[in-house]
Amino acid sequence: MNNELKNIEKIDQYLNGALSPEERLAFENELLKNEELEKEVELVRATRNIVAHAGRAALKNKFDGFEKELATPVRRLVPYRWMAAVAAVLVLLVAGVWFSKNNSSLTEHEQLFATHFEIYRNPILIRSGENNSEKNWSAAVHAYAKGEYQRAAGLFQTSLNDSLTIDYLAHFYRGVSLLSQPRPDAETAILEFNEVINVDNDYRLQAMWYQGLAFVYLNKKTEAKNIFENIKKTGGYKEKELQDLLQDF
Amino acid sequence: MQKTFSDQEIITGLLRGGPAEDAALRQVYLQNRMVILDFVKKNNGSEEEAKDVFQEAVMAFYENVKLGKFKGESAILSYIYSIARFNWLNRIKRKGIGQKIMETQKATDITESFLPRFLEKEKELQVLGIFEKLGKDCKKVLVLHIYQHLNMQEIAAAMNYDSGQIARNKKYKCLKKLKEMIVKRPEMIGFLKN
Repeated sequence: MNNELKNIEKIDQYLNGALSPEERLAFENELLKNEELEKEVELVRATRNIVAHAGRAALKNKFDGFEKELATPVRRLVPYRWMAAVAAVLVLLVAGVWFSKNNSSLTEHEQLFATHFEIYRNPILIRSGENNSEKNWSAAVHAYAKGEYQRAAGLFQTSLNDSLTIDYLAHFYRGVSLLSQPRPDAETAILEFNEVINVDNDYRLQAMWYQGLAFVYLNKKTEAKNIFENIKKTGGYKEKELQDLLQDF
Repeated sequence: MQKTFSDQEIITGLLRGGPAEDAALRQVYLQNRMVILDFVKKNNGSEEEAKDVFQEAVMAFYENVKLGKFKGESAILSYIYSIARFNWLNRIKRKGIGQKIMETQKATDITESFLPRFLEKEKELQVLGIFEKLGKDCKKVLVLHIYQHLNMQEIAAAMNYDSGQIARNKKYKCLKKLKEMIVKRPEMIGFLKN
């Protein structure tokens, strides 16, 4: 099997154009003399071509899916202005819940967290229809917009299986959902924000901000301070709030 | 909310595979569709022909990114437009329509590939029929390796295998299985020669 495997790999490299000019020349000389090898190359080429046709067919299916998507009318989950108002009310409500429930018993770091924590704006556009490729993502966004954060956190996790979900967005909104619950799950949220911070995307600073707040909630001031200072160094994000927060430390 | 990717992010997403690839591909498709369809339709193409030419161009773009032949040297739209234009002019020539469209650009460097030419519908179905007989994992491993050009480590990650060596062995077994199927259909080797 080892020789056969080596042979296949060599042919694979030849067909991929991955052999050096010397190796290629030697291989082609061998091909001229060795009828068996020539037949084997033809067979491997045919095999690879079958796979390439299958790959193209799968790609074509994706294209057809995009065409269907274009034919499906797009609607907003709820009218934008109305939703902005709902979001504002929700922010106040969460803050209200925090203060009314815990006002007397809030520790200093919980108070700091509650002062600075705001629910991040909703992902606002959802495609209507039965698009399975973003089914869980849509459900998660619905739950998030309705303030069902525990449910949203679970659904954002499941949405990672949807083919159209953008991973870092799902991790980011799951993290925010976990922090938005009446009893924030800050430990898990920190791990979710790591998934966003460790890849190149436009949500890194936001994820760092929320991760810093999660550390505040856990009373891990050193970690929180390091993160806030890093955001400050990068600049351009929540500069005034960062200054206030760092002063509070 | 859908984020808009830069050209470089699209290329990175396509090379990464999985959901990142799907999101990047979706943007490429939706953002460039109208320009190419307009070009073909303004040059005597039907809606269907325009869609075919566009899809073939996006496919060629995708394959060239995967092969490392397109790394973002030009804007993605210009690249796809060049391929679509070249293909449409060729189709027009084949149809014998005396268009006064001057071809100023050779696109041989962007259309040539080790990949096979498109087949007639009937042959395509035969080929896909054979492939369908492989197991689900085999199909996925082979497409990831041969069409999407992922290395063994990346395939192991995509398939949840413990190591690249396991992916390599799986690929070997699957290729062998597919070869055995083709040997029984010698007429196919003829039209799969490229």
